Amino acid sequence: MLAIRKKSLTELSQEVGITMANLSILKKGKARAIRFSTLNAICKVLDCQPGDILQYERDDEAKS
Amino acid sequence: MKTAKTPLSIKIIFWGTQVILGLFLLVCLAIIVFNVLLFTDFFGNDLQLHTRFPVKVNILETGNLYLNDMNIKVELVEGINQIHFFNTPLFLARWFGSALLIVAAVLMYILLSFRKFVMNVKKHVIFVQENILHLKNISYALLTLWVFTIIYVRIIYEVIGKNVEFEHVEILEDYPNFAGILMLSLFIWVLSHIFMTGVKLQEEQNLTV
Repeated sequence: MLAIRKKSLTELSQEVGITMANLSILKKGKARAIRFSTLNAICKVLDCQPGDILQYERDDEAKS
Repeated sequence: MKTAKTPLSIKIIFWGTQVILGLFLLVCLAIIVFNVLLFTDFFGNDLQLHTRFPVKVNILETGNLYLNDMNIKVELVEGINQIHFFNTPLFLARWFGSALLIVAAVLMYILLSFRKFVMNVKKHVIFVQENILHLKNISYALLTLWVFTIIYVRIIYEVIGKNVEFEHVEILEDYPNFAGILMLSLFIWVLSHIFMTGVKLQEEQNLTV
């Protein structure tokens, strides 16, 4: 989505209002949970739906 | 990010711990010097040792209490005891010295662990594995101290209490159980487990974006 919207991580972090460290946690898939407010802000900035940025992975697939 | 201010109570506990640790360090040095002198036979048998005698006694002494124009007959039954040796035999002095050294070492370890824990709390580093370790160490050290004290008191009774005779004091085969130390140890152990849950919650919180 970032590539489509031609935005860098820094720009996204500034526009959404979350730190680079948190954005990095999200990007690497290490996050345990995401607040609705964060999801709302990201979707608003990227003009997309949650399904466009979230993807379901089975636990065994994620480990491998 | 705005950092929270350290509460005054934590600052007071921290500085209190620092002062106690400093003073206790001096006490430990004195104990080490005392033991070195004992084991190099510096005192000979001339040492006048004054130590706690943790055995319950019946003081066979009756008296009168004057209260509200009444004369109430009372009896002194239990006392906190200290024993004074006019000429302490060297083996006994060494034994007391060694016991003192062990207790001081355990207390020092507890104080150092507590200081590290309070320092972390002061820096707002609270729910971390390191703090769980400090709490567990304090708990186990207290348990060790309790076991040692119980054994020490039993030995004191067997060695001194059974063989000493006083005119107005009856030595009882009953010792303090120092339950307070055991309760404190268990409480801190439970607290370490609460901190374990705290660490998990903190991790969840840190990884929530």
